Amino acid sequence: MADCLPLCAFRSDSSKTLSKSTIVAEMRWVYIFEMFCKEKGKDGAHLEKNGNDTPIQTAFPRGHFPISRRLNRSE
Amino acid sequence: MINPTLGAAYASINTSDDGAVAHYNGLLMSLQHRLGNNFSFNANYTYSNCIGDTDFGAALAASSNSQPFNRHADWGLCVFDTRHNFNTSVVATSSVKRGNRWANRLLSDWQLAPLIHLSSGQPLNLVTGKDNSLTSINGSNNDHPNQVLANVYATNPVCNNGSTPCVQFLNPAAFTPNPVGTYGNLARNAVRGPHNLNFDAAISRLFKVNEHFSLQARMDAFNFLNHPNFVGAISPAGTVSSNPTFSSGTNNNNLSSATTFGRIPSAFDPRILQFALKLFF
Repeated sequence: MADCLPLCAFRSDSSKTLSKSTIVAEMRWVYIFEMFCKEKGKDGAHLEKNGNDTPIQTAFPRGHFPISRRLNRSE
Repeated sequence: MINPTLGAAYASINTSDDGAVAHYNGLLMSLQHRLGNNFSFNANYTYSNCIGDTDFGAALAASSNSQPFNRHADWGLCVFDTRHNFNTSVVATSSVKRGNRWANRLLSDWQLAPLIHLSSGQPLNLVTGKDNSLTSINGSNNDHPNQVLANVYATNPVCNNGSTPCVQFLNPAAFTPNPVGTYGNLARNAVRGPHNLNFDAAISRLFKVNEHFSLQARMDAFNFLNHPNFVGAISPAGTVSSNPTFSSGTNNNNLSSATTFGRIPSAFDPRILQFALKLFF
């Protein structure tokens, strides 16, 4: 994901460490939420909006037009 | 929506959106004994779950979605989801200080260092390789099959790809292609791949020549148990494959590859023994 910016990411990290003499015990709970990301600097979708492409693609059925979204989102 | 006459002029139309989400929950536990009394000990265990709409492959990569207008239909385990992951290592050095001088010399300065890695298999994404759903997404390769048997794993693992032995991991009879015009009932990444068990060990003896020089004789054993760790699991080095097909370059997760579907053609290294002499100065 090096060339992407997460649109939304959240990380929660809580831990408890116990130590006595040379013994160390740690328990950690991690929660990460991420909304998939926006790509920087490419316009693979040819929308003439460089930097706004996103990596998740779907295709409309061949021979069909979509109903629920506009074809050209750069308008 | 249906306009076959005009729509036929288009080979495909790509669209992008940014709404896919993923959640990761992980419980990490570790126990450490710092070097003292001639030994140190480390152990850690992670219980985790990652679930999301899709797996990130690359920027503007081909879609892994199976339904054009229902991203959430592919809600399933992340490709790297490893439910259990356990690692432990010990470094122990012998030190005998009793009456007999030669016994002390003989039994001291031995070092034993085992390392154990055990982890669950990663999810496998099974597809039919056909566009029975008539969605034409990603080269018609995103359709999931129908699962028709409760147990999807092969009961007899013996198989042979020509002259090359292999392991039949999945039972092809447990799946059927989704009927034309429908989606398969098997979820994305719904089947778990092979687990991984690796045991490395090293035993060494240090000989002190003088104040400045010492000589170490050692034997290292990698995968000492000679446990088969199949490609499709995490490698012993901890590398997570980005796409857990059974073998890159083949379509063993693809139901249309009837002769190789569900087969594991390769494994990570078997037992390797290594002997060495090291001079410290």
